[in-house]
Amino acid sequence: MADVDDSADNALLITELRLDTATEATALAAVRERLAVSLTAGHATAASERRTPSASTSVRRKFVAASRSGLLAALAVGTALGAAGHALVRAELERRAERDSAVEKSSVVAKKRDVLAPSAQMLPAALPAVPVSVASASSGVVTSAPTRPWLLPRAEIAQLEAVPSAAPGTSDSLEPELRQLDQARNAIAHGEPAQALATLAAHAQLHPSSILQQERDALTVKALVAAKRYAEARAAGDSFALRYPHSLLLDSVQHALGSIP
Amino acid sequence: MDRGGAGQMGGVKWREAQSEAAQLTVIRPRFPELFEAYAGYVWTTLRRLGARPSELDDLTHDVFVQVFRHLDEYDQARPIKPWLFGFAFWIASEDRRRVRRRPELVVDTLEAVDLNPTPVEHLLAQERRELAWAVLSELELDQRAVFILHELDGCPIPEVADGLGIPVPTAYSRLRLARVDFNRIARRLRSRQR
Repeated sequence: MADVDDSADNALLITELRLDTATEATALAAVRERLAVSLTAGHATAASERRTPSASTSVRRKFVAASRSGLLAALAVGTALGAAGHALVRAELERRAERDSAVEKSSVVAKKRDVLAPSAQMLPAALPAVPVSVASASSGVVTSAPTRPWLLPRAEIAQLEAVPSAAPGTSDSLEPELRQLDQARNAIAHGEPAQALATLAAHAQLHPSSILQQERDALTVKALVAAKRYAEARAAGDSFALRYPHSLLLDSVQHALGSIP
Repeated sequence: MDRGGAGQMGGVKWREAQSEAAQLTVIRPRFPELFEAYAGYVWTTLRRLGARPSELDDLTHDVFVQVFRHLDEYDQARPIKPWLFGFAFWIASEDRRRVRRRPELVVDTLEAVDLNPTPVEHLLAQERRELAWAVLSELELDQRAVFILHELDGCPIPEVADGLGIPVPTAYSRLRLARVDFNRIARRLRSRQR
């Protein structure tokens, strides 16, 4: 019967889907870098002096209301999502809106995909605290229902949209800066570290105290490694670790330094 | 949680100190590690939920912003994947709503084709993979979510229901419908191929 053949074939289709977990390593790296800026404190700590106190406290109060302090402690992060983070979330929204109106980029579709790479490569960074899903799978117990954020409208983000960008030194639109750093990242990915370094230097000159400084510094280390300027890379890496000890980018910076022969 | 008897070991104070200590040392997944371990999973999940390739980076970013903000609500007793899936499903649905408001954009669910010359068996595998993605992309989103979590991620239905915030019978019913639809769509697309 045709149904029997079909069900065997369909099982194959499901297997295909199960196995096709291709992700884009470079794209995930970019996501990590953006998250580092929008979320973690490495930058916020450095930027805290630049923040106007009133903006800083109001923003922080708002944020503490949204996320309990335990989260911050768990992250071993001094201040999280300060004005800098909010400005970036806002910039993200602006950027999204801008992009939404534009015609879709086709280049991303054509980007080379790295089968299974990111999660497999990054795993050695160890996740002792992350529970393994299998462990609790057996229980199958549905515990008391926690809040389900995805059932709520994105009111909080809308609220963020309304927060005026208050940090001095942050421009209203980060788009050009983000694009510049994207260029540098792509140059590194395409084996053109010299070009990446030039782009990063240009960014540093134009925006000496940018909100994206952490991202720039991390890219600089990677570009220096790629350019085989190992001594400079190590020095830049050391100062990155000192400056942003809790950065989400620290692992990737150390990974780059670890690749030095 | 209060497990001990009230009168033991000095009572309230002891328990308070204990729970305070527990709060400080509670093993929560650290965000950076969570990201390293599950960024790929979130990315893949968004892809399976039909996010446009050009949006995958933005949406993955959005999911982790929400994960970060709700990390303290995560219950260690629950498996992590359905929990993360809930955020991805939410973000993907929001995105879908946005896309629908812009009819000029086409939802591209099929993957980019590798243009390198490939041996015949690779070509067949690729055809099969493309068919599989095409079938998945036609499943209704609510059903697809249950299908992905259960059939592709291997989560038991009670966990699927918990992760999506739906009753267990609903999850079972969606799974059944999704399977029926999957077979029906696959048959239709295959007949068109031949």
